[in-house]
Amino acid sequence: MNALLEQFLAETKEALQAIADNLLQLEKEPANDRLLSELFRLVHTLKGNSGLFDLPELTRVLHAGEDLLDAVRQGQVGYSRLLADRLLDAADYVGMLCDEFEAQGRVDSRHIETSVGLAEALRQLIAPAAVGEAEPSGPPVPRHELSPPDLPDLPEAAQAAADHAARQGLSLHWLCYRPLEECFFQGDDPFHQARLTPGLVWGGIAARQEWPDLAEFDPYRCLLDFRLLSSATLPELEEHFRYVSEQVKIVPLPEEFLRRQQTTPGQQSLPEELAAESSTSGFPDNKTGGTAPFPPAVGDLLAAQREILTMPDDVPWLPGRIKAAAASLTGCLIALGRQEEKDGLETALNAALAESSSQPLLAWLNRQFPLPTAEPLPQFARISAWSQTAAETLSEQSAQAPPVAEPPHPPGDGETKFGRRADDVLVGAKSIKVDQFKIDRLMNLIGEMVVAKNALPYLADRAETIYGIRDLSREIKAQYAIIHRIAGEMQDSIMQVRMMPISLVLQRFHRLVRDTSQKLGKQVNLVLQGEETEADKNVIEALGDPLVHIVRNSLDHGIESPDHRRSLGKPATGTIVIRASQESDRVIIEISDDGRGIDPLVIKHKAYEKGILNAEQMARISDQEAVNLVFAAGFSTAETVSDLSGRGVGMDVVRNAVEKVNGILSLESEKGKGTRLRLSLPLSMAVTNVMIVETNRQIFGVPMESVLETVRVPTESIYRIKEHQAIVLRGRIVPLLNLNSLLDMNIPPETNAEGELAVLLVRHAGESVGIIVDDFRETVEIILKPMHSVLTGLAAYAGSALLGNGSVLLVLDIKEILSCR
Amino acid sequence: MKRILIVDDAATLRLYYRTILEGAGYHVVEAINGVEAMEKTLQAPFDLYIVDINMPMQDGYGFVRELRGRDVSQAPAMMISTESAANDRSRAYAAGANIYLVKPVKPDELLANCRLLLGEAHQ
Repeated sequence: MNALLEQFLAETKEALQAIADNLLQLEKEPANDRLLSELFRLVHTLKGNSGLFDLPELTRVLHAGEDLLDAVRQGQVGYSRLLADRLLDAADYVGMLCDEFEAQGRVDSRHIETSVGLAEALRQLIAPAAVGEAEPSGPPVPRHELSPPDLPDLPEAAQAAADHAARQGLSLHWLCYRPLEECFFQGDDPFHQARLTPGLVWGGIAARQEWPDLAEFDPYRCLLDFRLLSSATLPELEEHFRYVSEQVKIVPLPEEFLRRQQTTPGQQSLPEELAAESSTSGFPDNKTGGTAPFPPAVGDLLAAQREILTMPDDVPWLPGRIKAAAASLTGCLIALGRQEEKDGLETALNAALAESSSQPLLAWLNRQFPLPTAEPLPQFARISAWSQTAAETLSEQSAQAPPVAEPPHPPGDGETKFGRRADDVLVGAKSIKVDQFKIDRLMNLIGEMVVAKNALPYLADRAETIYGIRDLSREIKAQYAIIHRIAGEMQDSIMQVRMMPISLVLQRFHRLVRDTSQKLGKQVNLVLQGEETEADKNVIEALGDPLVHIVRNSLDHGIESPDHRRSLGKPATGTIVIRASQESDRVIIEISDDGRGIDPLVIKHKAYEKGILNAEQMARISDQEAVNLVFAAGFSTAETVSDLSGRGVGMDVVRNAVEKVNGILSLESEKGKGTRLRLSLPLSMAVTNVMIVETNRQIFGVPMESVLETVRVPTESIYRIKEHQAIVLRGRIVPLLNLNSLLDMNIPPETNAEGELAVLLVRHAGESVGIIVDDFRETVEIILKPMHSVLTGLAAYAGSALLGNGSVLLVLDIKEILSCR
Repeated sequence: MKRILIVDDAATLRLYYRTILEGAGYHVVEAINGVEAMEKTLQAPFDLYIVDINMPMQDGYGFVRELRGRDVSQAPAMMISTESAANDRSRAYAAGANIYLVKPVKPDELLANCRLLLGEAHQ
């Protein structure tokens, strides 16, 4: 059953996300019926699923939510913000319960109160419109006067079981459960509830009054009393009946009861009466001699076919319906060992089809299985089997209970599939869920293959230069071209597998913006654009936290309060736009708001106060440079620190997180108009493009993201400013650094034959910096492996990679070596 | 081997039914709504249908009605609903379902009905 539980939790999470999305969407278009039905269906499905597990708290809340949405769907209750709030609370609660269930394999009983509270809150919203319908209106239901045990005379088997339980020192309780007449409309299932009574030893059902005439009989009113004998403790029983506690009376049985039971054998007990009734008034003895009872389901099935055949005949699909009923009846005949009656059934079927009427078949049914004189309630057919199965029920219950020791859910597993929407339901059938681990393994394998493939050109060279076989060399090169193409396509396809839509992270922002802006008393409209843009799963995951922080900052510090906005002549509702797009091999995400923007003057003053700038710097820096100071460590501009964006974690943390995945974060802001943050991230982090440079007869890789350009500079055009070197490039001064000295190798750089130095221009902290190397080599695609174990301390290197000729390439971490100088 | 089609949009319930039915030796196929169920039926009919009511695209009533109306299969259909919709039973029968069960259906109840509808001797 582990797989079932896993499936349940995954589906629940998916559905909760979709529910939240739908609710937020509904807030914008409350009259959208399609959204409403979809919402109802999602909650309905969840409730159906939850019935498989013993999670009454969960089912209760879902049930209330379903009823409420049904009322909304029927137009009895209007959609309101309050309604959305309560439903979202309920969804959060359900999510919380599932998490707990997942982690601990059970749900703490202290959640009962919350669940009752939430369900009541939901039902309250239905109540005003539904007065006189589902609600038990009028005088309160009288506490019923079910007598304390007019001690039942139990069947012998039950007596023995009770006796056995008592000998084992178990307490025995006598329960009378009288459900409300309207209980079916409140979603109770008294029979089910009673059957699942813990420690059930015996159970019986009785009518609480004379059965009315068939014509007046209303099957939707519950007129039953349940009497139960249980060996469970009082708290267990109270827990089981906690939702209907006022309808249940529980009395502990004194020990004398059992003694009396043993001495006075009972009169006819209730279940036996019923059993006798169903065999006499039920169906004629079957051919096995009348001793073997019908399997309990047969009665229901026959009653169902009878009901089907009495349905109005004026439907176009009547022949199909009749044939299906006949097929079902054939099944019953075979199951009962009455095959010889099949011919008669077939004749009746043909007559029915010829006449286009159910009557001939109904007549056959009534002949072979005469209707009992007093029609038993469908449930009664099962009762004869009930007392025998009481013990089985218990074992079944424990079998159904979810396993306690559940292996931890692989992280991120539930996220591999995206929240369901109506329009991708069909696609869902064609997609499969795969463990991320398997895809990572594929990734690694293809990486190794690319490297192995790159050994072929070396081999071709050797064939020509060392062995002198030029033809073989050419053939190897031709073969290489083919393998190269296939490997490239393979790599692409595997990357595609890992690609996920950005909407995966953007989705949650609707909720975040809604809740946060409400808390802050602001009005904010969130606009998402380009959600379908795709990026690698790792990139998407790395995006989440920085984005949350940026959006919170916008809400907290960017957007003004409605009054303030009006006084500025802006619309009262602020707008935050998150736009995702793809530019060649990078994903660009822009977050812009139309808030107050960043005032460079305020920033300068703050920076000065915090000692980030001195007076001289403060006078000199440009406005853009000042704005960029928000990225400086420990900088927070808010005059009041709210609990939302918080203190301490500033934009510097955001920038570090973005740069960790090779992203670039930039910020533009205009005072009074708004702020725009731009995030540029690689599409995929699996393959890195590096340029190989040579210095001091060693080679190093430099990530292409940091390389701006390569230039050759004559030694004489290098300026010396004190001990620093610089060149003038297109009218700008570019500081020069020597890679050898950066790596602590005290060897001067080599020039080429023309006396020129090779300078690699890289981007560092928004500026260009020139790094002198001995020579440039080719650029290659590599699979970057981070430094392991003892090498992790080597901060100057981002990692290593294997080259086609089998040698190891160390890839420099430009940011690190430049900031450590 | 008897073929059973489960039509339900809830993956959890599909897995639940499948586990029970495959354990009893049936061949099980799944569909997530009425439209897909009809496509699969047209490819090869089934011996028994287990149909949920509330589904996107086409609900359970619609599917069973179409199944009977197009006369593509006369195999019995079991319709399964949640308790709050218990008065949908007549609608299910009118549409052409052959038995109406209420969630959650216990394994023995499911199997007992399958055996009967498929005409397999009671053990």
